[in-house]
Amino acid sequence: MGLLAAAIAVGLGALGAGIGNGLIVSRTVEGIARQPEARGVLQTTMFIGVALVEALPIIAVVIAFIVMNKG
Amino acid sequence: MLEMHQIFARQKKMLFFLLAFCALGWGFTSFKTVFAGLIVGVLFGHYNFWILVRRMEKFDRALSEEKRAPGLGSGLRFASGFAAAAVALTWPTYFHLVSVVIGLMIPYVLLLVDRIVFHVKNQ
Repeated sequence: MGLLAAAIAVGLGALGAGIGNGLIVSRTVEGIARQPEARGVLQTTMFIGVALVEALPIIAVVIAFIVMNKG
Repeated sequence: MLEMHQIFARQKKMLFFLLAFCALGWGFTSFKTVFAGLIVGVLFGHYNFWILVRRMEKFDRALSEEKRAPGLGSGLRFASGFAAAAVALTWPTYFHLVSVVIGLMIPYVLLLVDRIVFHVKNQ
């Protein structure tokens, strides 16, 4: 049961991160293509976005690992 | 790109202060496991952040050279979180698990605070 819980936690966390990162990167590349002069600002925003989006899945991985070891 | 490096440099500076504070706490208080856990968590969190900066640089280079963009290294960051939890679970007598997890998230909180301060100053 612990393994199943861990798999669901990691899977859903990674799914969310994947969708979020995909949206961030695609919009940034689109923005750079439209306005190459705004590249620096867009990349900083992308950097912060990616960092914050990935915080939750990392927590999910850690919780999954703890559940896997205690279950 | 310069802005990203500036953010990273500021993060480094704040983390050194935090690490010094944790080292003092580890040395002079009775909460040794909590502060040791925080130190490990912060180090892994900062490693995560460093990987992100490096991958973003690579991504930028690939974009400007019109090559195929590499991945952003999410798997590596997940693995690093996994490793931090593994360290805390392997040596529970030295590292407090909850403080390792809190330490892992400190760079993200600092990033958020840094951006809020930046926006307040520039409005």
